[in-house]
Amino acid sequence: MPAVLARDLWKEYGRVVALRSVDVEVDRGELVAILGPNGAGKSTFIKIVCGVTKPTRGEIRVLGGDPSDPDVKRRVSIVPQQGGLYLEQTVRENVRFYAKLYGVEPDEEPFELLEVHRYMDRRVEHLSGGMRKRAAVALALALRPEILVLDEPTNELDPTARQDVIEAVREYNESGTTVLYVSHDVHEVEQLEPDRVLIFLEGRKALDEPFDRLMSEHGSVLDAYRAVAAQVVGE
Amino acid sequence: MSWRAIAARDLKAWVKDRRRMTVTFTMPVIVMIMMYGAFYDVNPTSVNVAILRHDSGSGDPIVDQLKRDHRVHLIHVKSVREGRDLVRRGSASVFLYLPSGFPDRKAEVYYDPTDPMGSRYVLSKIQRAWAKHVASSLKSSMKRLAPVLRMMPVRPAVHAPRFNPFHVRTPVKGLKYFDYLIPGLAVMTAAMGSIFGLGRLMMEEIELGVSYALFAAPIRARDVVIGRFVNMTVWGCVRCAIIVLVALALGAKILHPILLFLVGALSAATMVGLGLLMASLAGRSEVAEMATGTVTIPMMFLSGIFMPISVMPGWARALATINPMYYMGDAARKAALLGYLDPVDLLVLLGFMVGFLAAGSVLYDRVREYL
Ligand SMILES: Nc1ncnc2c1ncn2[C@@H]1O[C@H](COP(=O)(O)OP(=O)(O)O)[C@@H](O)[C@H]1O
Ligand SMILES: [Mg+2]
Repeated sequence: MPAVLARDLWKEYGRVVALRSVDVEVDRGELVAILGPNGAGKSTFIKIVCGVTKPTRGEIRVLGGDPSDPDVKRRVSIVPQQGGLYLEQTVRENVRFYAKLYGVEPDEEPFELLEVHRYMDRRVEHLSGGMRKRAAVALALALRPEILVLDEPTNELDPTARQDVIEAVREYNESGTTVLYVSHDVHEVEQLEPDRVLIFLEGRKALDEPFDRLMSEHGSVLDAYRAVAAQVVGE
Repeated sequence: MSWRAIAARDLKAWVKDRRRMTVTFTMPVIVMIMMYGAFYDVNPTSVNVAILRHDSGSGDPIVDQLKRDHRVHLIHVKSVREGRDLVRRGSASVFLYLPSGFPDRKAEVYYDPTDPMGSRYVLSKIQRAWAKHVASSLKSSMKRLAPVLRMMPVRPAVHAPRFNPFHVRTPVKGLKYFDYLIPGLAVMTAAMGSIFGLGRLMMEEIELGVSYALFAAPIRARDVVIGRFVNMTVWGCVRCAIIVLVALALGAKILHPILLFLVGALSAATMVGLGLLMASLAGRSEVAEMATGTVTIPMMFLSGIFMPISVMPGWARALATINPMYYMGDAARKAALLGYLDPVDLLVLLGFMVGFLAAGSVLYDRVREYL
């Protein structure tokens, strides 16, 4: 049973078509990068995977079930684009709150790994953007997910913080966590070295290739991206 | 039971937020003290009466009464024209002209329509003083006639009706406007805090990605609504308790404070429902926050809390029947002053609460599409 199975997925917001017939299959334990420019439909796809919204048409199965089913949601955790932390509370309080909603005893390890443990008792509003993002990623990992979903987690991070986040994600992936990693940055994807790269363009999945093959064929993610973009424009 | 986690978080966050705590505890006190100051006594504190006398003392009962009244300030004028001008310019609320030959010739009472409170106060003083005078002079003439009547062989059937054949009674005596105002105001203040604030919170949560995280969490959207509802209702009850205590301390006649508190709690819960509904709308557009104000202000003024709906025109009374605040105020007054929990009011409020919550849940669930 794949971790994520999407078939002919469509999502329309009125006249805007955010997803056009997207097919995606992610195996358990895979690390998949979803790359694409702003407005390509990456976040929309993620929203459907996390059970936040339903597709207009098409089929979506997560861990073999309906992603809006609480039993499925419990096994998936998300780092939203904006972080998802309450500002007026400390990191620890945020962790306790979400752990209660997920019904899990939070894993302490990601906080050490991402060096969040030093400011667990500070209010989120007093933390820098980078510290917040680290905390959000650690929190998502602390909920012991089978699938971890990150929507542009390193947007406002400095290079070391980005490196730390990527390493933490890789470490958890190696111990079995399935990861969907959304990014609009080709260099970040290269740094991530995922198992597979999906490129989204204008609501379509324009490319779906193992990272190694993509690199050997195109030399870099940027060149692959250019090739795909040119093809789409050519159509 | 995820709603408990939501409610617990909200409660804790509220307690820790010093600004919000300060508002929770001081607002009710400030509102009550202000209202007390403004409405404790709706009689005018000071009213000017212009007066011109050409009578030969027959107007004394009226003038003496006005002189004795510490609220009334008499201004003697030289002509009818001067008196009327004073009223037109707003320098006097009433001009009283007693012509020669009064009371056979009628006096003129010229009043300022823009000061209904002041002029009505003076008018009622004048009329009451004159009625009293008429009554007592009738009484004394009857007394003087009595020996004559007794000597008559056949007694004429003189039948004077009693001057005052009324026992004026009410379940609660001596209520001032303030006492009318307080019960409704107490529940309204308890409930108002529930309407505002949630919308802002909702927009904030959307911005922070918290709403996203909550929709992705293994809970039902309903749990978020219920948790929020519990938290807000708790604070509504706290506000209501403070208001009742302050009002009692200020000497308001609240004969049944516990009942009033109960009505306040139900009112707070009802308006939380409306607040949730509005917040879910606000989550979709900033306009909704403003709309909340636009909805609640007429709701307040047409609620009968400040002024009985019996003095309002028909359309306003019709609107009251669909205004939850009307039922709040009505239930509050009956509870506080008469010790009566009106089942109709309470059921209607309960109905509003359930309706608001249901609609709020549906709307909140739609927010997911706007994230
Ligand atoms: N809630 C929404 N309402 C209307 N349109 C939306 C909504 N969310 C996304 N869209 C539109 O759908 C398209 C894809 O958006 P999104 O999935 O956020 O892209 P990405 O994450 O790749 O930048 C964009 O054109 C965006 O404007
Ligand atoms: Mg996005």
